[in-house]
Amino acid sequence: MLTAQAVFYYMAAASVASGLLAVTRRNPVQSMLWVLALFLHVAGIFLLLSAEFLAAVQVIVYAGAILIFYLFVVMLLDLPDEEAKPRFGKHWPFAACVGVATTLLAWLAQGAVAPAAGRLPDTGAAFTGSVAELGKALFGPFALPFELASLVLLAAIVGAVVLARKRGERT
Amino acid sequence: MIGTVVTQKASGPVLDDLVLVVPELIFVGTALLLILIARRIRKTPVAIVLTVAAAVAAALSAVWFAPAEPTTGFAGMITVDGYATFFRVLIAATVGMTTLLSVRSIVGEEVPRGDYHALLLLAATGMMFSASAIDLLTLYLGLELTTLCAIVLVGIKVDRPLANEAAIKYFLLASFASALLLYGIALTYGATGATDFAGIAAALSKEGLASAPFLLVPLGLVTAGLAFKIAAVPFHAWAPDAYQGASAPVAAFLAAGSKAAGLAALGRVCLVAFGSETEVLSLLLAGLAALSIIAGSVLALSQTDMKRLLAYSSIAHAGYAVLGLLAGTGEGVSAMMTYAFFYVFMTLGAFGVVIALGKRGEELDRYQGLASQRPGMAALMLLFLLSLTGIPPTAGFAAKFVIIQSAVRADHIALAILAVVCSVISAFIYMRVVVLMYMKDPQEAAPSRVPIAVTVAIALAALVTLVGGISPGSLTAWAVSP
Repeated sequence: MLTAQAVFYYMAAASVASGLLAVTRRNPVQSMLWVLALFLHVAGIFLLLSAEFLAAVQVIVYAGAILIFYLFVVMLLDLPDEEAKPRFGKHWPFAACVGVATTLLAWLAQGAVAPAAGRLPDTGAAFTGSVAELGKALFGPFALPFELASLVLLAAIVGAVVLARKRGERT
Repeated sequence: MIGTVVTQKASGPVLDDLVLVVPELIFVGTALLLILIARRIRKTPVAIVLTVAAAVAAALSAVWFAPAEPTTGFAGMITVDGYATFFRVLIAATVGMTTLLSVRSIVGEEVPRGDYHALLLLAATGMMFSASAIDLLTLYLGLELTTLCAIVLVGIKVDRPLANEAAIKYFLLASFASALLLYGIALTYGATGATDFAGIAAALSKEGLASAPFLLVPLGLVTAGLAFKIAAVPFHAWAPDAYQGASAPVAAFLAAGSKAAGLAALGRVCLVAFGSETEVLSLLLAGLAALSIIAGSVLALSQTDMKRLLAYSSIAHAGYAVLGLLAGTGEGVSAMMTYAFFYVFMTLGAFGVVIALGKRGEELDRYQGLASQRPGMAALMLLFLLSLTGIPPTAGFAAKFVIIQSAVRADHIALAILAVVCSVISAFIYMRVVVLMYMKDPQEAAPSRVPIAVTVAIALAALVTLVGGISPGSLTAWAVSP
């Protein structure tokens, strides 16, 4: 138990630290790399909660896809002005206050609104969070929404291709 | 580990479930085929014939495969009952007619034919699922599929800045509405522990709004999200811009199909899921209806663009249709269904005339003297406008009659009076077009020949509008509430 706690505190502290570093770095690419560190540590916290699937998705989708996407944008746009300007706007103390207040609220509320046992939905068998459980749910009771979601993605891809075609191009 | 997974009996969908979604399968299959062969389609008619055939097949199969008793499938995700079948047929008809109406706009202009029709079919698939959904998850995904395709269809003419602007506006507002709906669904799940309508209803009957006022938040959010889909005031702002920027057939599809699907979803959610909260719900809906009827009728008065005018008219009609849901009874819902059915055909008809006249049809002033140049077309427009106003012997009158009757039965006398007064106001709007057509001299040359497909679609709409007006009872057997 002690090891798990130690690991958790390391992960949590490293997440906060890399988050802070990400917003304070002057070079956008360095910021990105700190965000990458943040994502990996958050994935570690998910693993500790035995949410393997979420951890994998965190790494694949956020660290793998979205971050690379951001990096591409930063590198393609090449904004030297961004680097020269101060990193924070005038209102950063206000934003910091909001952040601290939210943290305080969460801290105060953690004891107050513990979910009543009876109100939580009955999931039947104990949900272990394993990938196998998730797969069975996706292809069992949730097969239709799963397929529908794939249609939504297909429509999004086709739509993107249609809208991004060159002007005047006849397809 | 893997061994145990394989040996466990899968509780997944079987053939019985697939039979329930034959119309949707037809649409998806045709859409995939169109996407695959999009590059090979040299002639537009191929895509049109395929899409119309899919629409006819879907409508027929919706009736043919309809089970005698309401049947749920896919582990309680959808149900196929009279309500679902009714809207499936209506949506299939909308797709078929829209395809016929879009013949000209995709021959003349630079639109990718295969993709255009595939998106149309995918949007219709989403509509059908939202009409048969009995789980908030399916409902949301169905509506989202529809909206996503609709946004692309609005902006499909990438060369037109107006279309781009309309698509962006629609996208932003639709994302916002989708977030509202999703948040409402999440809170509903949090409060009731269920996403299926029966489960929500059961939880609400145990602990309703009276004991848990918090439930007002999810109730309001879900209603607001669905109100956006039918463009009811105050969630209507996207409609005039989207309709104006889109090409006329797409605008017709949005006005008819997307509104019918939204009403179908709203009807089932109000009657089945939130059925025990009729009092609060009817207050919310009464507000939506009253605002939509007033704003739609009054704002339409100052429009000079035909598509904007019809957009405001569609907002007002959404308000009328919602009147049927106030009572929270099966009778009221079937009045709403009747209204939605006739509304779809008269709107498609009115848009059809706009499309038939091409560029000329989109501006109100250019309708001058149409009656002397094209008496047939002017007469058809007159029919649709009379129907939109609600004057006998058209279907619009029959629809308004049953809907106002249901409002009166639900003891919403003030709303019923408001509906009648606003019908009179809306008569000014529609009759302005009639005056221009019949009492002014033509200012420009007669419009060119109309493609046969467009004529067929308009004739079909006119037929339904007339038959519905002469024998309004013909739908009663079909319009069964869930």
